[in-house]
Amino acid sequence: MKRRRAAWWAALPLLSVLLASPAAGGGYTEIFDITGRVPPPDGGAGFLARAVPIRWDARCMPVPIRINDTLDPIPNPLGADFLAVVEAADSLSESVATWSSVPGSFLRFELVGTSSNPGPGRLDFVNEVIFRAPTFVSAFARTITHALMEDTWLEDGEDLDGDGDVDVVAGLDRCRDVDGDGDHEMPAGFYRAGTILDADVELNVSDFRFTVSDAAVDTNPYSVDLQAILTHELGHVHGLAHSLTNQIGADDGRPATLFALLDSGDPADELAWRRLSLEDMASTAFHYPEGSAATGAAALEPGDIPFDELYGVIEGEVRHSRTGLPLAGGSVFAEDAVTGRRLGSAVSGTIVNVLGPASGQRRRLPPEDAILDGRYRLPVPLGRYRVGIEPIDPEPIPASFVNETAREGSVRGLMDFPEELYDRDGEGAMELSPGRGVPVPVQPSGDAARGVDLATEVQVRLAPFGVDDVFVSVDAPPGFYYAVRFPAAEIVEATGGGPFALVAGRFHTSLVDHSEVPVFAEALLTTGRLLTDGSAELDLDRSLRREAPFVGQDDDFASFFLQASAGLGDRVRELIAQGGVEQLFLVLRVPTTTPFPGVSGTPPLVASDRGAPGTRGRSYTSVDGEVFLPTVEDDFRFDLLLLTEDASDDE
Amino acid sequence: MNRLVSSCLLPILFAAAPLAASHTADPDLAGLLAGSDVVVLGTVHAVHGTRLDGELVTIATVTVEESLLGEPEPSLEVVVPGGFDLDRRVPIATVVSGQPQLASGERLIFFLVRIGDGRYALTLAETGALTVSPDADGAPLVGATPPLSVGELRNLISRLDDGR
Repeated sequence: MKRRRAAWWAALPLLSVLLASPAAGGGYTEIFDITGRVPPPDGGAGFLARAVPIRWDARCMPVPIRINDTLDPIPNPLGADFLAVVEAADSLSESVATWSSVPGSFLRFELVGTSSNPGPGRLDFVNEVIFRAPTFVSAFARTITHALMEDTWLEDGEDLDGDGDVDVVAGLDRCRDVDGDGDHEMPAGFYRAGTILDADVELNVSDFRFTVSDAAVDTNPYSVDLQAILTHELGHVHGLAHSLTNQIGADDGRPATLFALLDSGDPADELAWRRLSLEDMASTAFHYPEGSAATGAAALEPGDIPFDELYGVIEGEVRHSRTGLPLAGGSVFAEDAVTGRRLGSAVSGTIVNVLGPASGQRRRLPPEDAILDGRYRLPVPLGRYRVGIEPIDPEPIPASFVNETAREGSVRGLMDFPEELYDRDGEGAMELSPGRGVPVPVQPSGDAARGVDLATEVQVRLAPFGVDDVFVSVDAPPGFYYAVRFPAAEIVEATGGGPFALVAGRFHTSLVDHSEVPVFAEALLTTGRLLTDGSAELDLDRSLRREAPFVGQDDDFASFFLQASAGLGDRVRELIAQGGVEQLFLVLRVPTTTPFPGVSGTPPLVASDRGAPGTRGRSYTSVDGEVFLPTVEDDFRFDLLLLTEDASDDE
Repeated sequence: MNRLVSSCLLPILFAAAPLAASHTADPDLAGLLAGSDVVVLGTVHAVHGTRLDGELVTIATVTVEESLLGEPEPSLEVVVPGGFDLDRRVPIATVVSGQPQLASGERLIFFLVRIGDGRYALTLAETGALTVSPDADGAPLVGATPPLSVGELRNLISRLDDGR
């Protein structure tokens, strides 16, 4: 299907300029830019507004931060108060230092003192860390950011927050508190849409105890390390959005600091958030690149390392094959070609909405007009990478956790494709080996690796389950088997009796201790048959495909890519035709040895749908591999992906 | 499994199962339901910005198609922290981490908690608004994996509510 490009914007020179600017890289918090106040193409009221990332202007380096001392000691909902603000300030200093020392980045924070605002974070040109009861929700913390919505000249003497005090001063070299009243003033001049004016962090002291020492990090989910939370929130303060990276690699289950979920019951997961992953650093350095200006904070000074010496950028465009639309809201990721460690991610696409004419009013355009492109820019440390695309679907976090572009893709129903890797010449909607990744070199020349374009897959999906209710089983013994049955008749029906390729099986896996990796002893695709007593007999010794060990994902579908998928499909089709195959089974086996890794000592888990009473009769377990008994209430979330000629014709 | 959400919400707090049990609860729908007074399928009819206690918020007026939990109301107002202010020389947007910005015309499943004055907030912030998007044939599907029909979600909520 050919992409339909709306014609309206081509006739609008101002908007064309707007669209010509490069796509945002990484994953950044966004606001809508109404620069030019361009009317919408449908003739309705309001202004066309493009989602743009937020960031601090280089003139506001270092970003001044204050710690609010209204509540001192800091309330402890679990017992007696024990934490003084001065101790919390030490944790904040550590987080400030962490973000201020990212190699290749000119971002700097500075802890400049205390503040005494008893209310919520607000636009007052005081960047505060506040301890308070939450207004509506009970998260660990939230960050409130105020940013310009259009390119703006800020003029000498302006009072932007309406407090009677001047916020913009001519002749200033940088943001600072020139009149000594506690808020910072900004230099008069030109600022881009998305420029952050003020940011506050609110920490929830109604529901959580904040601790500051290594020894206090425990398994109580209501007790959490303050430095870990502050490091995450300071990521939001300078514009980073949530990352999907909750498992850096097969040998490292720790998350990126900007992953949305913290396992406060796992000390190792908690402490991991104090430090930055390479992905966090690359995203920040790309947003605040050292050496990107001749003067000011972004200019090179003695000891600075230019962005281009440490990082590169992978660029491309993503197409949503089923609809033919550019893909908004896909998560493009880069894994080191040798180690497999995930070192970068970005959200694809450029979108516009309509804002106004009154405050708060917002509406969406038809998808062909709202999604301008599927471009992405993915910053990574120099190296060689396998690049992939995954949907921002509810696993491991929904699109609404990320940014406006991700949510646009979700609202449009575009998050319906499986994870896959970039295959250069083999890239397309109907790949026989979507798990094959062609390495992309990222060189120290400063030039981007361009043209790394992806197309999402269009496959037949056999998924005998509903939404997940539970993860099972924390008391599975070593060597325990989970299996899901796919009847031959169902495969024939789904493929119309014609040729097909068996591309992948997928397992929704997870674990109790999120700093670990859910590693299983093996994954299998094999044949079997049903017995009259309702149990099943599986041929584990002569499986069709096997991967051992099998590395699962942390609350997400892990792909078991099937080698030589077309030949495998032909073989299975022949066997079915000959009556030699009644059932296919996807099998996952728990590790055979203990102790299982992690503080809880529990095995890796699989997701299960415990939907309506009873089951779909497809799921089985076995303690010995000999007898597979049907489950009583579980439908395990394993699915099978196939390619058919019909799907190919569609493409 | 004590997974907690930073910058948004903590659904596992409502659904956490002790490790002595054979399973751990996935927080998504059970957690949302446990924290909700009302669940509706509705469409955002209009949004506008205002200030509540000095804080910029967006108020979404939702036309209710179907009440999945709680007393049915034809429409209701949902208060979402953040938004944007155009009534000034320099327009400014306020972004609150964990809060989705709603747009007119969006069709969603809303998990809501009463906050007074007849208004509601999203349960567990951004997790409390599930996208309803069309499938390849145009049928409405609720954002989940796999996507649910509204009827399936209705049944699921009914079952989970019975267990509350």
